[in-house]
Amino acid sequence: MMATLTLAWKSLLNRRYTVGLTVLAIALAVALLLGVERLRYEAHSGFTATISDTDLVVGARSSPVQLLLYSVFRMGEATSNISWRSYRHIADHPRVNWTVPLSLGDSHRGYPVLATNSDYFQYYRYADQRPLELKQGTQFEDVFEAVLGYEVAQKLGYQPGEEIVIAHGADDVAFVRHDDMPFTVVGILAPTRTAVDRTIHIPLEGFEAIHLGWEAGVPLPGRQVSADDARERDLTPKTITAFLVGLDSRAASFQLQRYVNNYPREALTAILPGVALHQLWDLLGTAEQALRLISWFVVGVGLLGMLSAQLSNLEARRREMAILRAVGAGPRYILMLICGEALLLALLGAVLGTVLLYAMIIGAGGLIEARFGLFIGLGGLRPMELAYLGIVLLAGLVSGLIPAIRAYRQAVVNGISMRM
Amino acid sequence: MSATAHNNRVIDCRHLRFRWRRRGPLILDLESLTVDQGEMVFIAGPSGSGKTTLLNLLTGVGVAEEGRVAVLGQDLAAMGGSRRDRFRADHIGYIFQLFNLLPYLSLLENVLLPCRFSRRRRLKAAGGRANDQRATAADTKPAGGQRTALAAEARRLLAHLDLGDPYLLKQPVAELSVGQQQRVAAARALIGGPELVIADEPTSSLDMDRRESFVQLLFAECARQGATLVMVSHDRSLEHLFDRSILLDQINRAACAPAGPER
Repeated sequence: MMATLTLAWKSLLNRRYTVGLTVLAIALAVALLLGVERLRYEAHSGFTATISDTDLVVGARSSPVQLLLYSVFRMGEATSNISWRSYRHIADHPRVNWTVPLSLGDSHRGYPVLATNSDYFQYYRYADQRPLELKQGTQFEDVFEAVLGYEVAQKLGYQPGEEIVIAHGADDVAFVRHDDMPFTVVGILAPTRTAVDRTIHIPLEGFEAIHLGWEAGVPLPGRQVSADDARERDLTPKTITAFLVGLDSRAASFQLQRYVNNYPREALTAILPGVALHQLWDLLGTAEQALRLISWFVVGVGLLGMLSAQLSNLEARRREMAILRAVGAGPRYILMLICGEALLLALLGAVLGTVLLYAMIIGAGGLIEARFGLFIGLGGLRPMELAYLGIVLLAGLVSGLIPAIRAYRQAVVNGISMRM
Repeated sequence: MSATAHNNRVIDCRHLRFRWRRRGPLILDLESLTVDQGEMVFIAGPSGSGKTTLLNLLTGVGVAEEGRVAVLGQDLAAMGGSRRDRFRADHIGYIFQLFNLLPYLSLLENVLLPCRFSRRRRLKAAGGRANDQRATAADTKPAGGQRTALAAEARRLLAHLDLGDPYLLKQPVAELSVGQQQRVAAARALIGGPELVIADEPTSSLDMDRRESFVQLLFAECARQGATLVMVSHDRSLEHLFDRSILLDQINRAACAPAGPER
């Protein structure tokens, strides 16, 4: 057995360029297939892990998916704000246990700024009901203090005590900065692998203060306020972007959702995060299916390449087959040789493709995380990925049967003679 | 196997009939063809004489529909396909007209190729041809020791066939001359002492003056190993060197059809 394997291996090495290309094609296809699958999986688990234990998210009237994206994932922008009065009113509903107000819109060097209050640190949960933890420093207490997400601090190299300037809007354009009222970093959160890591947290009062005199969206001349003056003012916000709600029982979710959606004084939308996430997956499902289909097609093309290479090789390998026959190889040996070769190439392709996948995760994972907030884990292959690899191997074996059966027939028909 | 089999009969064909398809034309119809142990037999087989078919039947690659093909006293038709393949690996050395060597193996590996398929020939080659009883002892040698012994035996055979030059051993086999390639093929056919060596037009790709010396080398080595040689050729210029010659188109009653699946 070992002897025939080494023989098959030497034969492959002899054709290493065509064989190498075949393996490379399969490897790239496998890397694409696994990459798409892993991206899909990581996106799902990453999104799902971002919010936990929150029963409702309330914002201005919009589509549930949009509300979820901007309030929880800091993606896109809110269409409009909701009034502080409505917020307080709903927060006082008897079934409501806690609320966390959220105000969004500003940024610092590309990272979104979230204005909230201390309830955020107390009630916000991610993954499996895990609370936020401070890695360094403390929560904000003063108006002009900021707590950074783990990634923000890492990437920008901030330490507690440093001052940061917040830019107006999501783009960091120099002339719309709130540079008259810098914030002092007082704390840095431990990593969560969620959108929190990329967020800068400031108190609602600070958010209100830096926008004094900005009612028109830009600083109006003559209406600027100094930081000290701002402290004197009433810094209770007039509006917020959205708020998270925790109820006394999960069963009350639908009741309160109906209550919010029919709220008479303002057009509001309340969503159940899990339901909205499902809607998001449904929305993305078609695109995912298309991507998956394309990657399977690419795998098919790679295997077809192997099939055509093997078939055209048979002609050139007649001499090899005849010699093997003469020294005692049976037709079944020839069949196994060709089939085994196909399986081996598929296996090499699968292994190389997996290596490529991990190389890409190591090489580009940071970039993907920075650009799209998607953390791609380096963990082992999951059952689904192993199943995909199994399917690729099986398909390789089956495609190898075609040239193998041809070679088998040739071996039987040609007899001992070498017909060229 | 068979009580009637001659003790020293290497090939014993009786009442042989073969056709490609049921109801197709007869390709081979032999009353009898026998070769004794140690004989050097020339079979003259012009095209259409059923030469290819006969070789298929003798090597156990094909099976006759009627009649009996016994090699070394064993009825090939009575064996299953894979047993016939093993029998061929163990007992028959085969030389093609051309393209005998696998380009991806070294010269030595090409010579030792049959030893990968036949344990019997591997043990015989590693144990030394002279005394076969040492074969069992060779089996217990560590793998490395056996490999060295095999290589030594291959080198010994090659030296006998005028391929002793160590420089040649390092050459890629594709760069050998045709004459050298045929001699390597002869060494491969002889390694591990098979009882029967069959050569299918082994000289037809050689220059006229090389043909005779090739056959003489083959004779010498077969004689040394006690192997029986059957050489099939349509070129009868070498016929006179052999112990005996058989004219296939005369003993094959189905011969003459120049067309037909003989191709």
